[in-house]
Amino acid sequence: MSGLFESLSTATSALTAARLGLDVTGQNLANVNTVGYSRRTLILADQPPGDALSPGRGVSVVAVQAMRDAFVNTRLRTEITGGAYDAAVLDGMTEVEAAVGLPGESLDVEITAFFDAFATLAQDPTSISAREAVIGQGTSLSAAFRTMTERFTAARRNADASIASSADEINQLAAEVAALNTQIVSRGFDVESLRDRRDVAISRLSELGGVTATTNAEGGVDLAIGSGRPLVVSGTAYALTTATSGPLGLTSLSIGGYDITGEIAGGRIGGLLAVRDTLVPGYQTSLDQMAYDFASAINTAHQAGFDATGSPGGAFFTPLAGAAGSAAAIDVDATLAADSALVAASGTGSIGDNAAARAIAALRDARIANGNTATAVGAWGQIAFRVGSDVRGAQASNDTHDAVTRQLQRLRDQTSGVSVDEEAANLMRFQRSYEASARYFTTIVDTLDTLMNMVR
Amino acid sequence: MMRIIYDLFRDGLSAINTAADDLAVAREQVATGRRISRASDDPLAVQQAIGEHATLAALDAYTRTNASAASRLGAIDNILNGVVDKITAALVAGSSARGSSIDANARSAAAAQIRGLRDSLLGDFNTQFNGTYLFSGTVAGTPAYAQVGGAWTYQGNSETTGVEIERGRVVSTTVDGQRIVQGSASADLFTTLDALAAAVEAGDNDAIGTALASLDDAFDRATAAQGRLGADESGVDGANARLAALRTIAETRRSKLEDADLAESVTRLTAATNAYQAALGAVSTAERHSLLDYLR
Repeated sequence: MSGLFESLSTATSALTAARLGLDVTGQNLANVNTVGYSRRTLILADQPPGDALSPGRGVSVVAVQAMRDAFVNTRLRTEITGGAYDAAVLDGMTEVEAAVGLPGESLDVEITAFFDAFATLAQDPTSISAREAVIGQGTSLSAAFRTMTERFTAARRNADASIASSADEINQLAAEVAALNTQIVSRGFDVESLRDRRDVAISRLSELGGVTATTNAEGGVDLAIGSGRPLVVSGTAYALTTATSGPLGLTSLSIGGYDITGEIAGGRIGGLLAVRDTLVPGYQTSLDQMAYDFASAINTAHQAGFDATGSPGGAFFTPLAGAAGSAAAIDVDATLAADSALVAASGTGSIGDNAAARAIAALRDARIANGNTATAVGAWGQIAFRVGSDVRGAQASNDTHDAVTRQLQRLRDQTSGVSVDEEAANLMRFQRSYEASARYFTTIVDTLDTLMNMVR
Repeated sequence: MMRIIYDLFRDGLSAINTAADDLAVAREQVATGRRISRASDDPLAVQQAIGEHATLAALDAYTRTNASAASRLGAIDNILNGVVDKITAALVAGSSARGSSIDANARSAAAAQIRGLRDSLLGDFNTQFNGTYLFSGTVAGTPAYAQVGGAWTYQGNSETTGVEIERGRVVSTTVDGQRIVQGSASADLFTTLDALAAAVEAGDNDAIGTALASLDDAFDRATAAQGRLGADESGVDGANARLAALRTIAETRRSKLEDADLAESVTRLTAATNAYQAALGAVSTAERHSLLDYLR
């Protein structure tokens, strides 16, 4: 059977629990805006009685628990990885889309103007100004092909620069996770804030490089990148190293001596790699093929004609060895550019004949590109369509990831988020509890006084 | 019990951003009058619009070619009218000098008139247009006729410079002068006029008759050339009308692909403005109250 002094102990434990409850509520309210903070909950348990005639010995504080849902957190990281990939593709494609421009304002205008110049020359094949105009438009079109190539290359370089800086950030974050792992495992208690910080770092790593996280037996989190390459194992972080190679000096990523550039298919780096190594090179290949087909068709028609001196026509554009690199190399033949009399407008050798000029002007409607399946302007339209649909696809995918991410964040908040209303209720509850416990305490003290007065 | 947490940044600002994006798009459409401002807005429409721009450019090129061809054909037509008039005048002068009652002075005057007409006709057939000889075939830099070794000689060729006035339709903007001046006859027009003038001076009625018969043939050849030219001029007019109609159709297609429907855009702008204001209002009041306001 417990005594009054034991009742004081019960009251003290209740006061302690209520005060801790207020502290937890204060902590939650203080961190309502802290990114990655998981709300804390006070876990209480009643203290069992010491004998059969005792109701119990008050309350004990079992733990201050951080509320987390591992499943939702994992799903959230997956969506963040996907969203970051799409956002990076959109970032990288912005300048490509701007370079492609709008109908009637881009490479299509230069192609049209080139054919227009030959149509004008056909009206008067003896006109020197019309011959000069043909050379001028050929030069302008060549420059437009080269400019487009430079813009594509610039887009690849910009994506590459972001890849290098993202790799640096991954190394910093991986080191942070490894250090936090060590602290969490060694301290063993009071580690919830460290876990929150680790979760934030892992989220950012997922965003950057699509890492996969596994919790190990000691409570640390191991991270892998690419095709399961270890990035963090317990307290050890493995550095992602960068190297440059190729004519453009593009960055490659290695870890533990393995080149993992081609393995990273998610997150911001994955998106940037897609822009740098897949999407833009695809457009460049099409542009090169288009330039090659165009120059070859014009040269063939031009060489079938005769220049103003009656001699057989030469190549209008400098002959290209192959499709690769054609958009960067295309240019009007230097000898012809210096002497407009070498423009072959005649089909017979007579200066007034315009058959060759007409034949070249008529190529605007001929399927000369992409294996004779598209006109020159049509081939450009196909490139513009691909750029537009790739951006649109990335935008749609990004919107979906955003929506799912928001939904998962709401789900996470159901478990981990701080509700001001809920904390206000807790504040009131623990305050009332403290008041009641204090009253109980004073009642026991008064009762003890009464007992003491009885024996005086 | 489901815990509902309202996050101002996640929920509120994303709603505002979405509404602001819609508002920006609607504003841009109204301001520019364009439905498409980048390739991703409607990739297929962009691809089709590129094709329509090329079609319009091709039609415009044909239209410019037609304008150029029309002015050349007009010049040739004008010259041929003069040629017919001058051959007619030579026929009249030759006919009037035939007979026994014509005195030497009259014959001499008629011969001088015929030689004048010959020189004028030579000038006609050697006319240049923008630096090219119109009646030399494709030998555009050389006069059609000149006297070489005392004989009238055609210096051009039998080819002509053809321009495409619409897809598949070609008209000639230079003329094979020899086809008019000589055709299949044994003597060309200038030699015939020389012979006529000499016959008139000599009072040789038989020779005058022979020369007049040759002039009649030349007249027929000139009027036949006028007929061919008229067909080409008519073809240019017809092509222009068709090109204008095709341009209207292509422009309509392009406009449907690229241009914004103004009424629809303005309606969308109004709706987007309202949605943006509503989002701002909803977010600004969302966190105004909590249980803390009611605690004493």
